[in-house]
Amino acid sequence: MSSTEQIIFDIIAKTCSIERDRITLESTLKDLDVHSLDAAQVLFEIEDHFKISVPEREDQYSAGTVRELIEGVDRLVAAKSTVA
Amino acid sequence: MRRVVITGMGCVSALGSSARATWAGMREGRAGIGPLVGVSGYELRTAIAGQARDFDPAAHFDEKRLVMLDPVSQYALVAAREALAQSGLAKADFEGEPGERAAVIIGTGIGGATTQDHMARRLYAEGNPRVHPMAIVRVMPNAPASQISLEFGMRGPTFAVASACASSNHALGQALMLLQTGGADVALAGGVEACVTLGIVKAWEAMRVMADDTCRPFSKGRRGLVLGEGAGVFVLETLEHAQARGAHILAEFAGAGMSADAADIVMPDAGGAARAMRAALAQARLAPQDVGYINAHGTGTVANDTTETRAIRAVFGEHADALAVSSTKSMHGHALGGGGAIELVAVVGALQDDVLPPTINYLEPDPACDLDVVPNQPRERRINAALSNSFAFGGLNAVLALRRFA
Repeated sequence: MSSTEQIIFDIIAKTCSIERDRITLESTLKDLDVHSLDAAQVLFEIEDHFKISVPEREDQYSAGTVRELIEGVDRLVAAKSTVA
Repeated sequence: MRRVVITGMGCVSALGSSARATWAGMREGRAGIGPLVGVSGYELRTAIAGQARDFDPAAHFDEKRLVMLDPVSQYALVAAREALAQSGLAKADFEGEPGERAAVIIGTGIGGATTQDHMARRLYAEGNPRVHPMAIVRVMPNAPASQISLEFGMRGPTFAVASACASSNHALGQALMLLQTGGADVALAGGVEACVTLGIVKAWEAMRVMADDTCRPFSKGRRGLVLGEGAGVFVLETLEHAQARGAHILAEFAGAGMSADAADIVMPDAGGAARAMRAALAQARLAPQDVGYINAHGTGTVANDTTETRAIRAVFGEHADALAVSSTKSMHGHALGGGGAIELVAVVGALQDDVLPPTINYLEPDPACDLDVVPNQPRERRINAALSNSFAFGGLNAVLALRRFA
């Protein structure tokens, strides 16, 4: 498990009060019964932890699978270090 | 219970700095939402808002007075002046005992947001330890009500009402009850918000409910809400008081209904919304089929508009297909605690002019919002009664019922 993966699993579990074992790479937030306000909180915790801005309305982050979310966050983090 | 009528209205909104201008914009379906100005930086994504662009503080207040007034009080005072002037009442009418029978009830979701923002920036960002001595009187949420009371010498029950996006309607409903039950003879009531500050816009962004194109209530392809700002203030009087002074009556304020969802802090609930509409109809002694128009809460979010549609269908049954429903937020944005009062201008205007304001920016029907939402074009239609819906975060609902005065 990559560190991004671990952190994001932790964030989803804590923010949404979901048992960590229920979360898989193939789950979507919808599968996990995460409502829109909780989803916004998940994205906020991710933004705050990684110091990135997660774009709005890109399904990869809010409507895709956890795997897609992790890939997107890795890409945003990489883009940030290129700029810096 | 005593009957209550509306004899004056005033407004500041993205459509203009008067009720006259706001209604003129509403009845022609004009867009007041435009590029966001005066707020930037800090990775702000929001680029549009319904700001009171043509509001010039210096045109209304001298420098000494302005020191005391956050924009939230400025908007409320300008709206109150217009409303009182239209009603034919003036400060002199509140000298002596009549002033003690005059109430001021103004809703606001936030209060002096601009002052709060400036104060925090100086203190925390700039490390400037000196805070302006008038900061407290500008920030306090009762400032708009107090400033109106002071300006006109209205010395009856005076206070603020806070229920987020339903603050206006709760304030107006409170004033209605006060007049119905003999607690006052006349009231200035309504709501106000001056919320387009960096902090507030960023906070709304964080919820990810803001549209990036424009506000398209009830339309397929809607992408969320657009923040607005402004004030609506109305002169309410008991019928007896209005008739005794020969006032011109704009409409009868026939009822108000309030409820709480107790379901979710943000997600709307059709059951709570429906109960508020039913309570407003019951107090106004209106049957569902008497209602020709509903000014919807219609924020343009997916959740609100589908839930509001379900609530209207639950209350009105088959008549839901016969009545017109529009959201003027498509034109002036969502003015939060000022929203319901700005929207009441639309209802009074519709009753006066026999024109229903449209829902603009409408693209195509959404099967989950299958109401006649007066898409894009205003409609000539004479109605005898109307509702105005406001549903707030926190699950708080307030609905007003107005009737043609006869």
